Amino acid sequence: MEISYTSEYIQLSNKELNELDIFVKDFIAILKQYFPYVIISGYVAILFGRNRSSEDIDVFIPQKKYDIFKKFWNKIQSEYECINAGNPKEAYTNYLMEHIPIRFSKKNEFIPNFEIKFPNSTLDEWTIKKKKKVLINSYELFISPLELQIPYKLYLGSEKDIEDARFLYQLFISYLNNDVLHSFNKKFKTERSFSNYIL
Amino acid sequence: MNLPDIDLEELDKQKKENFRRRLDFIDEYVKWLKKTPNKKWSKQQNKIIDSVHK
Repeated sequence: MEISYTSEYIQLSNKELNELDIFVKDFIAILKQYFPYVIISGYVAILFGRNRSSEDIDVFIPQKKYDIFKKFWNKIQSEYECINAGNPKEAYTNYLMEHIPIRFSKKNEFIPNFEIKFPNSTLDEWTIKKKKKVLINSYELFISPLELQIPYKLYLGSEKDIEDARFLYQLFISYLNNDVLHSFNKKFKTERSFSNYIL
Repeated sequence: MNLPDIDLEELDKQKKENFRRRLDFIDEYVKWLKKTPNKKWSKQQNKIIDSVHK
């Protein structure tokens, strides 16, 4: 794997894009015109080579005024549809503002889909603030810091999540900020899982 | 219909062993990823992902 890891970004060149990468790239190209964002889901591990797929891509966007969301909604409607809300007012008021995610898929498809939510905690806010830039070929994405992603996956605790955590840790072992990683392990009370499954 | 006896303790043991083996496999896979050009590993990964999403 040819990879550059700096404090500013992770760079991955010459990646052959798969259907999921293309779905993410195309959707983010529209989303980023209206919102900063951070991808927080299993896609982070998949992006770097984990051999599994995913039905959804989880994303935080910061809370913004309805007018901005409506512009995004109007733009996205040409190619995508919201699976769980019928109009922008409902999506904004009854879902996003209530911290219930909204889901977008390609028109007439269900999977994969983007699950978008407003932050609901200081941790969510921190994730947006500290997002990590990833340069893939000629485009960029923002992902959750890996020092958070790994303990959080351990906190979620399913076998799939633990495998994702192990994959990310082993792949980025020489780049991770261990102080931040272990601080999050303390906060999530995942120190024992970390010793059992990751080390 | 006669159903077989199920030893849940034994199954649980097998489940844990299987999970451990998958974790070990991830380590081997990461070793391979690290020494494999992006173009090559991503092409192989795409077979899995595109079979789900195409």
